[in-house]
Amino acid sequence: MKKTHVLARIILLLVGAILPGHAMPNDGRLRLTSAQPSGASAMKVWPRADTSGFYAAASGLTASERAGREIWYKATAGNSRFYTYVFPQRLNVQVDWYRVLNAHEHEDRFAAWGLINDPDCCVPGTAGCPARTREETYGFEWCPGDEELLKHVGHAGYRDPACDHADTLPIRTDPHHGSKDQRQSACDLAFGTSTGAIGFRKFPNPRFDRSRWIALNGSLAGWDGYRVPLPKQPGMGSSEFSRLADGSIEPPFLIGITCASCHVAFDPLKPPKNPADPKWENIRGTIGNQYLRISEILTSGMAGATLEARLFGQARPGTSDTSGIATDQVHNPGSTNAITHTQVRPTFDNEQVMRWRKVASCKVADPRCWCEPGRNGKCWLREKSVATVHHLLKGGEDSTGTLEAIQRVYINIGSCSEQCWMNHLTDLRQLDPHQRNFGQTPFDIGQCRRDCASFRAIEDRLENIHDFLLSREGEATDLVGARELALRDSSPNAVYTMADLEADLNKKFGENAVRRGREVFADKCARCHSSIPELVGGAFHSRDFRAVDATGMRADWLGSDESVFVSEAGTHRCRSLHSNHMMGHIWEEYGSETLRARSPDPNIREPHDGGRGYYRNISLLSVWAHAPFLHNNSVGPELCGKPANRMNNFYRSPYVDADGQAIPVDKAQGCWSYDPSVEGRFKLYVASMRDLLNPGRRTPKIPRIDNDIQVTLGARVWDGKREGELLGFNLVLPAGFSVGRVTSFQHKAFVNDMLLARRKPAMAEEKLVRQFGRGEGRKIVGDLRSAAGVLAKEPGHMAEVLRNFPRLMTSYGFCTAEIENEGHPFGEDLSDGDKDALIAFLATL
Amino acid sequence: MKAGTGIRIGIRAAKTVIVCAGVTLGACGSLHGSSPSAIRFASYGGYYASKPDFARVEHEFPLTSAHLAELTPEMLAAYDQEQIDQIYARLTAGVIPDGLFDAQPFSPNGIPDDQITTETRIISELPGFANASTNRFKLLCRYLWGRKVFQGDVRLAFTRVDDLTPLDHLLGSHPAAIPTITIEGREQWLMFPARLYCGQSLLDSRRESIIVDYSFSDDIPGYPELLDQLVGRHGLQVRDEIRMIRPGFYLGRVYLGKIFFLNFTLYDRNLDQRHSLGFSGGESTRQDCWPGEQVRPIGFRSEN
Repeated sequence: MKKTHVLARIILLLVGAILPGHAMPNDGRLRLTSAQPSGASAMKVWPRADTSGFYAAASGLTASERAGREIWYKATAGNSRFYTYVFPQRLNVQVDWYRVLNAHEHEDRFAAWGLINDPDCCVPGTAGCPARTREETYGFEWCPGDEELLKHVGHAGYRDPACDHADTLPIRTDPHHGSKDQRQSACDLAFGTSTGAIGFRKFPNPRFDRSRWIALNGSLAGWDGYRVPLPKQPGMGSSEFSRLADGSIEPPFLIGITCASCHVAFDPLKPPKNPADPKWENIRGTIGNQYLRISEILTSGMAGATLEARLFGQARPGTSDTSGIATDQVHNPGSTNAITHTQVRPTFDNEQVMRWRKVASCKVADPRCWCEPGRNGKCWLREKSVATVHHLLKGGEDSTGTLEAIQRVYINIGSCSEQCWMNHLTDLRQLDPHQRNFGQTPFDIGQCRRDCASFRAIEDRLENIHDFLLSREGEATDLVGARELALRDSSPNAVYTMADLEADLNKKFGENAVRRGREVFADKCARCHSSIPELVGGAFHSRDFRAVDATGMRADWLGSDESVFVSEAGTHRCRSLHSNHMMGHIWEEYGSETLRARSPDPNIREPHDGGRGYYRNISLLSVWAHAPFLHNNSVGPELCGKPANRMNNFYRSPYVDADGQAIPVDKAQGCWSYDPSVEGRFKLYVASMRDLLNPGRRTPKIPRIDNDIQVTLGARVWDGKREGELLGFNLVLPAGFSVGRVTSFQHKAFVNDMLLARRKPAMAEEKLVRQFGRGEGRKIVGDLRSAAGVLAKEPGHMAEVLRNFPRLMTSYGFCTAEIENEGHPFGEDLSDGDKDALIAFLATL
Repeated sequence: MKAGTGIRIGIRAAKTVIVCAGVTLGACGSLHGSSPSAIRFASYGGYYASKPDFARVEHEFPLTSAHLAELTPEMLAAYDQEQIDQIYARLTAGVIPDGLFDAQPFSPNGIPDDQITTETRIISELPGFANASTNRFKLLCRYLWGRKVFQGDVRLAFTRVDDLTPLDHLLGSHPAAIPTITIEGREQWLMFPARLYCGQSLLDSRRESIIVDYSFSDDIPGYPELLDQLVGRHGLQVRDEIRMIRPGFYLGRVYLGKIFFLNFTLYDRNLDQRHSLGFSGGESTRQDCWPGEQVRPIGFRSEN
């Protein structure tokens, strides 16, 4: 009997290896993935916790693509501890997950936060929902797998659904898996279950204290005692606290996020009828959610008047400052990159790259090499090599390899944060350069691999994720296809061809607009926005930019990906001054030597060494679906959700007049409501293109602080009536300051130089003359000494003092650019007719 | 005396005392250093970037049971701050303390006994920082990091106070509501309640520490509000974190407003003596908090 079982397993393994629809679960048992019919009775199908529509939507993908998809959508790699413990306790930022994810506001969630509701979840008490009351789900929605998860709230022993992840068979040519599968347990991918919003996952908190929770909140479904700010007493300044800051209270769930949290979006080809209730067919995982307010989500537990809420929580929909947590003190929210047609995305040869590669053994005592204990020849060697790599981030950073880049993002969203990230990050409160965390130190890939199981779990499956990104999920979304599908809603046999689209575009933008637009594009745009240079693909003027290759895929990525000086692009330069990939900084190991050796842009005043000061020429594939434009979504109308719950209305007008003064809200342009429909996207595209091609007509945008913010750094004394600072200082940031100027201010360098100028003026002068030149350096020293004198009398008014010393504000700014929607003047000089023609043509790409 | 008057007077007095070379802690007492143990340290410089990564320190210079068994509070005071930090980072949270302990603040080697400060004078020279009140700190140090009692089962900690007189003006009109404990026939007041929990170390993220948090104590019965505010979230925002050296002996760090303030030890001689043989013999210790993932040579039983 036993032998029969063994033989059956061998046969099944072989079947699994051959049939693309089969995969190995992590426990070594064979099962069919849920996308496959159960078929033969000899094959036992193990029940999986989550037999939802999520899996049905993956039909047609290969086993590896499906595995990658599941990881992309579900794997937190352990970052729920980051958002539950590290974020509030070490970084002082509270997330009010109930405010964002409560079941009661399911219908308002997209409008408020831009989140995409999970089609597989349900509001307790609604028809067919397994949960009858919100008490059962602690106020959240019920999602597949919760029948098991909810049993473990307050108890240990939860078996993560990731343990059932359908791993593909290991690649036998992989030096780590030649003899056997040596991947880290898939359990360490940490899926948990959905929260009701795609990409946001929950885990049962074994430390949850049921009776204390009820005492605090009144019920299991209530969260108000935990999350609502405690009553303020007169004289307490900005000190506003909720129990979210009380580390002794353990919530029922730990919440983590996945890659999909920011990258998932409504499919431009098949948008949902009701954005609050999409189906899986309406969802795409890789193109980026242009409506998402991830910054506001991650500061949702902060009182509105706090510095963190105002500064880190102030970003345009669809953008986030990915160097906000691993802060480089350069305020630079950027859009989520659309991951499209990576197969034809340009790569760059002969880059000097220091990176790890898989080997089967290490030489004795080779410090560059490490083998995982308990494994057979699962080793890694770190060495410099010449490689062909992508340039992935907006300035070309993440240039050591695509797989490495995927891995880095997991760290940047909090995975392994305790084991290998936080100790390297800057503590904004640490003003002493002799203390740890005054500034960044480099993340150590080797240490993280050794000390964090989730790092290894992801690393061992990067190929699956990569395969998913190359799957049909990353295909271009043509307007012609979107319109045809839209027509089929009312007429199932409707046909809408490229000729139809061109005819409609010509009707809207002028006779022969598309043809003329193609000529303009070839003449003015293709140099930067084609991935096939003329030397390779022939003259742009005779080029079919929509041509497909032998596989049926679009041949041109429609972007060279070459980096250009930011001063040439002319766009808001703060993102290009991002410093995290520099030597000695947090992502040093994810930047190539070639990247760091790029010559500096001679037209920038702020620090821009280490290969900074560049932007890539981006892809224009499916550009009709990706407005607003530029790296920060600033060119085009402002977007807003207009939620029913006005407390969650985060729109703040950024418009200013020619003098940089805020335009009153009733006189400023309003915001456009979120509209992911095909025609909604198209209208937004047209308006944004007009803005792009007419820089002189753009109303400048400078986000500003709209109310005074008082920030107390350090401890206070409280006499029962009035707070006073005891250690630290009470910093008042007056209304009207530009958000970017404040958040990019080098307060540490300023404080240290100011003290040096007061204590040792000669030394300060020598330092600043070296940094800024003789004339300017001396002036700065003079200003510093004057400022120090004023601050000694009024330590709480640093911001006002700085306003009186504008040279200091400029000299100590990592980025002093303020107007977010400036630049990219290319096409400005075209006639109005040619501009319309270009808009028409680009809509066909 | 009206409630709060004393505090106001204290503040005015404080502003006449400008501390030029660091925040002084004359009343906090001190330990006198003895010869350092055989513990080894990774090399380090003065600048932040020259400090070694704790993961590397632990990997290359792991602490053994023997190292920890020989440490005493006095030996810790013989190390400089970086060495103390490197020791702390190689500890785990261990067992949440329960019972009577004596806390003792100490200054690292190279820093005068009556001061806690950083290696440079930057902090003390900052506008605002110079307002630090010696009187207020002396009073607080005397109480907050003195004799403690931990109630591990309910996750609370208190300071044991014999004499309420110095705090009289902060107690309001109902000091009788303050709970007491009788130790060796003598009644002591249980004051400055704090919550105990496993939480983030502000120095080393790789594993949790035991947090002694005074921020949200208002709902603990018998607590005088005015005193609570002084050390709680509207006041000094005191937050201690401790890691266990061995049963009965902990190394702690005090933060005010998340800014590092001082080192202290927490010691229970009886507990230490009771477990010393077993600990030296390699007996595993319980871990009540998340111990991280980096491999350590010292055995433990995780309860988390």
